[in-house]
Amino acid sequence: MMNVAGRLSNGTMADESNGLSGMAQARILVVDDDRDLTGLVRRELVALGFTVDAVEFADDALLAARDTAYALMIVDLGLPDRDGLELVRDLRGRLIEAPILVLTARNRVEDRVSGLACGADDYLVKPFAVPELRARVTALLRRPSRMKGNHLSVANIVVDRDSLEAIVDGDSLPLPLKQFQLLELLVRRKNHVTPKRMIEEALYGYNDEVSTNSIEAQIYKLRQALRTAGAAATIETRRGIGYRLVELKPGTA
Amino acid sequence: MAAEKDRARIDLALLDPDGTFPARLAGDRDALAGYADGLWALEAEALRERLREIATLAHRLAGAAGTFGYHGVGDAALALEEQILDRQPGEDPSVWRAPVRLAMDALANALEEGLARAKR
Repeated sequence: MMNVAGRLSNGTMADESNGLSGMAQARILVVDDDRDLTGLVRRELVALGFTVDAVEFADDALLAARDTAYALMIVDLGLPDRDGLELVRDLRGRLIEAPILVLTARNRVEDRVSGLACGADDYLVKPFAVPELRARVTALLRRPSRMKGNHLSVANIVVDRDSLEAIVDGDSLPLPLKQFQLLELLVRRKNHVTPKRMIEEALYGYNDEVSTNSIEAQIYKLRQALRTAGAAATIETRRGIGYRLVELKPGTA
Repeated sequence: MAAEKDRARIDLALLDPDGTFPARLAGDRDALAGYADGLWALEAEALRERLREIATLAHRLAGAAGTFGYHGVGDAALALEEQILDRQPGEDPSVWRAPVRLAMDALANALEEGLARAKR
């Protein structure tokens, strides 16, 4: 069986001349089995400078979203293997935060409401005018991150910013506020090294007294707490550079 | 009038620069003709299944055709889909045969007009 990478069709074009350079290079997933429409949507998005992946099945969309941090997903509701609303619900259930634009020929009020209730961020009814598609995509991508979801995750760690709670493998992990903020920062920057200075700025105000080893101390305590709770990720020290949250390989926890 | 035609041609060219969408319209026209063939002679269960297939074709076409600038096709496809979905399973076919047949004919005509427009 062909894997999802084999079934992903991809298009990209570098174009910085459209005034959207800040959004350019963002990756968008289109989930629709109508190849004509997918081709049109892809052409428009590529012209705006986005990289576009396209799949026809809900299951392929789940796999793609698991492996890639998409800036936006465009989901048709009439998919061949599953209802698109179920896919949206599944994506949100897996704590995938990317904004979702639902694309559908269903135009009843209850359809639009249930789409949004399932976790979609916006709704575009087919047939649609291409300028409206462009406008909705750029508007969704302009939203501040705080409006794009309050659940962040790495491996079996979930940071719930609404309840200020860390969850490891389904169980609550009580953390003092500074450690919670540190974990949130590292999760948000997963796989990227976070410089010590950035951590200081995130955790402490200008008037706070910060001792020379306070960051090291917080890192140490958080690392211990994660290990004790059975987290499948750990904080890696990059000497002289900063810290990075990395997923543990199976069997190394 | 001529200016309007020119603009419509430009819109179609922008939405479908490779000119592949008319082939989809032709395919759907042929599929619709195939579905219509012997439709009303089918037994109840087979008829229901065939109408489900026609509704699916109409649903997809309603979404795509209007987006590509073939609004007449899109509207006719939507009308056909609604005619089929509005039918109740136990309803007397003699009541709804005429409106469904009419909607199918209207879509077939709209497809022919759309294809003729694409050639111009």
